Amino acid sequence: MTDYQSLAVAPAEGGDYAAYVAYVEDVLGGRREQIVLDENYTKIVTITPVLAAQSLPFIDIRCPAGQKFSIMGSQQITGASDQRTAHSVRIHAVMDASGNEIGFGNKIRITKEGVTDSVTNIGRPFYGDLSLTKTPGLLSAVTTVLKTDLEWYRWTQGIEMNGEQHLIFSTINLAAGQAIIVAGTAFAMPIDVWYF
Amino acid sequence: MPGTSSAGEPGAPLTPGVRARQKRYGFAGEQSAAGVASKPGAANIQAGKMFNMA
Repeated sequence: MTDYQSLAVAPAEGGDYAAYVAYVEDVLGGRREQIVLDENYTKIVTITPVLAAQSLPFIDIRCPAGQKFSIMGSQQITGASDQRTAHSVRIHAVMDASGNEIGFGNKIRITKEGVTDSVTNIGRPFYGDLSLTKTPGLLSAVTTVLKTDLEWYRWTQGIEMNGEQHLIFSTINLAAGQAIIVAGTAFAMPIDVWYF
Repeated sequence: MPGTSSAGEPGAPLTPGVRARQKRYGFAGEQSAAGVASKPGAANIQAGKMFNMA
């Protein structure tokens, strides 16, 4: 183990994700598990339906008490060529039983919320920024084109979630004639889980 | 050997830099950080703030 008692190898401050990982491992004593979070983690992920014109959460991710979630942002990577190693997120929001996707022009509000209703705004990207596909449509259709790794949405600023904080994806005035239903709505989001 | 000490050993000399690190990160204990299993309440320490995380 690196001797972090020595200032010569002390974690560099200023936003480097590797330094954050070293800090949580060596100073706080955390153990890291790297997972790809999705809708199948039903104990901590809740998908809820949204109707047209509503501004409501449709993905709610809860960090359990006694654990920490961390997300690497592209700002935390020093080498420009490595920017795409930042953690990504891909969402497939389905609006009907046929599996059609909501429109790419919808705005999605991403927030981190605490148990006391404290809210940190993360961003308000287009759904098209977050989508798994390059053209809205049926995931099973032959003509559906999936985004490549280079086109996936990457987090800009790193995010740390402490016990019982939530990361919430909400619609903002979902377009008329559209909706989000639970069946078929899916996402994938690499995160680091910390156990203490 | 200079630069090493057993974590938590009574009377063991602290290695250079420990005081500065405790001041920086706010740990008051005498015990060195390295080798500690986990800090009480570590899951709720807002460590990300030091690393420009939201």
